Amino acid sequence: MLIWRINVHERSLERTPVPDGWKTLGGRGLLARILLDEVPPTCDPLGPHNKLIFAPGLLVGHMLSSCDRISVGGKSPLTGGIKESNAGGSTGLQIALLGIQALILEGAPAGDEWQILVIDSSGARFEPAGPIAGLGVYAAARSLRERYGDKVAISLIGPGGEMQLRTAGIQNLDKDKVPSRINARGGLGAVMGSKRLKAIIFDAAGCDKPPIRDPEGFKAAQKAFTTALMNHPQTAVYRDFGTAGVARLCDTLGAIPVRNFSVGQYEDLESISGEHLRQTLLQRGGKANPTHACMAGCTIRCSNNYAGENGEEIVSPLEYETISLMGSNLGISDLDDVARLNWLVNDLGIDSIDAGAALGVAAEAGLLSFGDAQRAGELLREIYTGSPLGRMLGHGAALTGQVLGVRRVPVVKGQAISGYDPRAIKGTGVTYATNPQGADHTAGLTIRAKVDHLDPKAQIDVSRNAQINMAGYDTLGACVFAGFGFAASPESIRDLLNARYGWSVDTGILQQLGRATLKLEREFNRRAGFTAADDRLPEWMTEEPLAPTQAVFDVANEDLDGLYNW
Amino acid sequence: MHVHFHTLLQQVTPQGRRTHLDMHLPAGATVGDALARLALTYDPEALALVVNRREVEPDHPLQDGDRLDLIPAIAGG
Ligand code: SF4
Repeated sequence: MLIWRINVHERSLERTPVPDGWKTLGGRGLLARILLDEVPPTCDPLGPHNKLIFAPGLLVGHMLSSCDRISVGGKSPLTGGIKESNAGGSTGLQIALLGIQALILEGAPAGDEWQILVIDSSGARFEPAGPIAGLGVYAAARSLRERYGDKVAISLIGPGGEMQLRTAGIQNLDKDKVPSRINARGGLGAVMGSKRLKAIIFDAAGCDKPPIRDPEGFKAAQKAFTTALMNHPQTAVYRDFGTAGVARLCDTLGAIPVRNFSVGQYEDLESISGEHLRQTLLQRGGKANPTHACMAGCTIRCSNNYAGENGEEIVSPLEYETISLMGSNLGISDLDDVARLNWLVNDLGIDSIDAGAALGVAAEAGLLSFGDAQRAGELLREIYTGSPLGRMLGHGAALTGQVLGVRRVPVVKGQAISGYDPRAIKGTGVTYATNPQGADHTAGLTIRAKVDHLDPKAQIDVSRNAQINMAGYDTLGACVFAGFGFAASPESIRDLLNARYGWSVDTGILQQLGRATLKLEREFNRRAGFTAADDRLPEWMTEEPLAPTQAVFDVANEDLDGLYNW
Repeated sequence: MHVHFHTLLQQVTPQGRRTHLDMHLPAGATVGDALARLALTYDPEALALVVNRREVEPDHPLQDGDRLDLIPAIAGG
């Protein structure tokens, strides 16, 4: 594996061996190391000194179930701190097949023309994007596939990334070539836009799989992991209901965001529940499919294809975070409406969580009524025009709240809170507050922990463990749901890594990687100017009781500040 | 007492597809007693047990009018 370094100003490529200190890292952990080594923490995230880095996790490249994810990172224009966002789809596999441990994009472009970066086994080249620039994500992906064929992986940005909006993501093709697997959070699409790259093509034709030191050992460990994963009870829930199965759980705990996080229980829960979603898709037939894999080889298949009454696909996938932030959080109860809004934000290339939260804040300020899906769509379409209103929304909930003078703004470190109100699931609130990524649904949810989620004293250990494990999985390139298999068979992580690389790590490796990653990320943020004041939930969440539990977020500040003392 | 079933459990209740049911239990009965009465074909270890919106253990005593949610555990979305 090599480090590929591309300077977008010079349009140069340098391929170098992996430096010693980076060799045992991948994915999120490697991003943190490189960012700390190479990016000035106080730099302008959209300027020449920030870097956009793609790094597959340590286990990527072998079609291990749910383990071919791609981590993308840089300094976030949304939070001002470190950012890793990972996605499924086909990019992780292709980049690993190309033998790339990290692709580092650096410098500032010399001109204004949009480019497509094409990476194949012979090297890298820039091609003018031509008329593909300016297109929405779906049309752009179609044109790119016409130009480069159907065997390549593609990472691309939409109008949101081109406008350098702070909620812009980077979209990747799923295994069916739909550009819907998104490095969504923290504005990495804006960083890609600042490099004037509309798309990156990864063409691994003619490349071999990454080498495996001990193929027999790898095969045995793969079998143990896959068996544990297939037998895990949660696998069946995600296969049948997807992440939407979480809606009823969150509602039961009084933690589903409703009308800009003003209530934790939704009167129309039935119509946005995972159970309803499944029934609807089974009844509609055609392209509707409640069980779908985002990447080849995933045995969980938590994704879905959401189709309308005519059986034509509206969006794929429709997930809990979007259902909660663009459904209940906006008072919208029809999943067809939520699916259409989801398609719009995907086409714009912006994060559905932050966009949903921004619309919730806008509704609180009177720009739309809760429940008005049509107006929500009109407001999102403003973003295509680049109008000040559209740009405000596209910059996310934090900026929208500042402009509109709203106090109830659900963000931490400038990033929108995902679909778990932290007053009713306080461990997740601890994660939102203290994780270097800002409020994030993949940084360490605690909903599965066997604790009283309302007890402020019981949350620090639970959150710490979840954060460490997640940082570990993100370093492996494992989907969070692959974690069921690894949790049931922890020795399989050790055996897979030892067989793949010829290492001799023990079963503590997941936590070692996780702890090291979090420390690096926190250090980057410290050098960027973050203090304990940034490790707090919004003040109103500590004061405003959430019906029906009447809970406020009351985990003590000293406890939050001690989370990293392990 | 009202029992609410989530996701997969709606398919494995004794009566087939059910979303909820009412149940009468003797005074002092616990969540574990309710589970035993239901005889679900689902590993109780893999269930999250929630009474009146709070996650509890199987020995949690139940009162008249309580709402018990039985949730095949999920880690989030
Ligand atoms: S479990 Fe879902 S998100 Fe994870 S790899 Fe499989 S389909 Fe993708």
